[in-house]
Amino acid sequence: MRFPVSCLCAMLLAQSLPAFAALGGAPGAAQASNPQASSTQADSVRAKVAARVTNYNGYSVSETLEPSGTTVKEYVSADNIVFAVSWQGPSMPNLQQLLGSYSEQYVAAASVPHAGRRAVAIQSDQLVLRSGGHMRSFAGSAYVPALLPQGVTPDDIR
Amino acid sequence: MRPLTYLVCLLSSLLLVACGGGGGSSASTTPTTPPVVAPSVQNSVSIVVDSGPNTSSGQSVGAVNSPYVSVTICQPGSSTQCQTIDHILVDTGSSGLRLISSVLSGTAALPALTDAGGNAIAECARFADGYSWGSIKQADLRVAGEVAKGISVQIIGDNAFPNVPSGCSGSLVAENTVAAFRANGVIGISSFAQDCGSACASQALEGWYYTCPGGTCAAAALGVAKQVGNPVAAFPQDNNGTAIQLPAIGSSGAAGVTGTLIFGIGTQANNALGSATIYTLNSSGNLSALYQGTVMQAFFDSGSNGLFFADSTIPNCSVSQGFYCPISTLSRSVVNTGINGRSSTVNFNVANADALFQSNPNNTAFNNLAGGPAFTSYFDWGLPFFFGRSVYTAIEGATAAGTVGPYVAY
Repeated sequence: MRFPVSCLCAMLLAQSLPAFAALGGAPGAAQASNPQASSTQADSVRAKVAARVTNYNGYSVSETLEPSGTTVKEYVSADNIVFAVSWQGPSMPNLQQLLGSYSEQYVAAASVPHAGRRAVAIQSDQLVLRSGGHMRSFAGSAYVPALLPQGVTPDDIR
Repeated sequence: MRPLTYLVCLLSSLLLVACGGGGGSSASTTPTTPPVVAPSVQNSVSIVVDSGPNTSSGQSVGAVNSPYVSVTICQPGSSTQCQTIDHILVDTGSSGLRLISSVLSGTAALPALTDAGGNAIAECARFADGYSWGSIKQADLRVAGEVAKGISVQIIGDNAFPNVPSGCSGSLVAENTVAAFRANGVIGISSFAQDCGSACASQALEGWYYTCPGGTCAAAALGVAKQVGNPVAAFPQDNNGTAIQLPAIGSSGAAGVTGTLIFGIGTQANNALGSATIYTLNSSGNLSALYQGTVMQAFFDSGSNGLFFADSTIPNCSVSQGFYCPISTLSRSVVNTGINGRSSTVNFNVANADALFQSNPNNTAFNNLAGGPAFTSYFDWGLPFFFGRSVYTAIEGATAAGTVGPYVAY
């Protein structure tokens, strides 16, 4: 099944969530400059500072240090859509914010009775997600295969 | 050791007798001279690896590679208001005692931990695969002959605070019942003394501690002494770490495996390091692992039921999602290197998990269960690593067998 995310949907999503990065939506920097969106942002989101934006061929990576010490990266395509996110640090990030409209798929996959514990691996056409680690040291990543810019491979998402 | 501490120890052991139902002891002997060595207490408790507790509907949770112990919790200072709870998961990947509220009887009604303003404190414990929400209470923990007095304990799913804050529910998957948690609770004995540590002491962080005046929860700072912490660090003795001993098992697994959780490292005759090598850990509780030419971080987590690592050349299972299903069993190796430079090669096997479970439906312990990838830069040494070994976990800042933790030794 295809999972199209139109620009309109992405913009609506960005406005409805206090997130600084939602998979499939516009990135935090663009959202912060949107007065409608910023008026609904929580203080905790305001406190986050985009530490660094690095440009690669065809996409950019915005790296944010959360107050907990966890680093969150959002991978942004040339048409300003977050196609991947990753995290690493002492606290799990807010997955609802990071995954946006893809949260439901995560919940469905992670809620299925499974024998594995402490590691989540989702591999579908719509969402690829990996989450692991232990208390005080977590890491994971998620991306939407259909949104990967040409030439970008999963290995580029760190 | 100071005489006062000795008295506390003596009192504790008397209380334990009473708590265990022995009762009636009227021993009133008082030491006339301070002892030169710590009085040894029973410092080991049996571990069982079985299919786990039953859920409220009477069904087994169907656990695999889950090590459990029984613990006793009491009202602070009480020797009679106690309850012993089985199937508490032994977890070197977290810190703190957490109990599912539904397994608690009214016997050991525990007082709430409150802040300076009298507000009760709640916590969100977040794991890689979900979150647990509930009150923080104060209790005495009794396990083996050890007593941790007045520690903070999380009571998961007690519904004292029905409005889960978004900083917690944002972890998406709730693990607030025995069925979801696959245990009646967890005893977190990682190398960290507290679950959050100084980060939560200095600022209010989303996803950790909360107060909920008026029913609306907001993140709150909490000093390290009040945080939910590694209970071993709160013991009066045998408090520098733990050892987990599980027997070797065959390639088709085993059912009802029993082992031992020992408190303390180098403190009694049964917890000397022996031939084990110390591998010191970094501030995140990890060391370095070299797997298939790639360097990654590794950690030792008895609460992980498989070895979780990334290897795109191994097929994933179709039935047992999350595990690997190679066509035939693979032999692999990893070189672990501690921050102290000590290194060793660990060999292990990756079996076809679907075939393993299908052929051995009654087995609950497997040494060749692997899956992933948790994340390409992490190697998770879960319970399969622990079979046939003694694995020591030393707590940060504590000296254990002459070396300051955090470290693992095996």
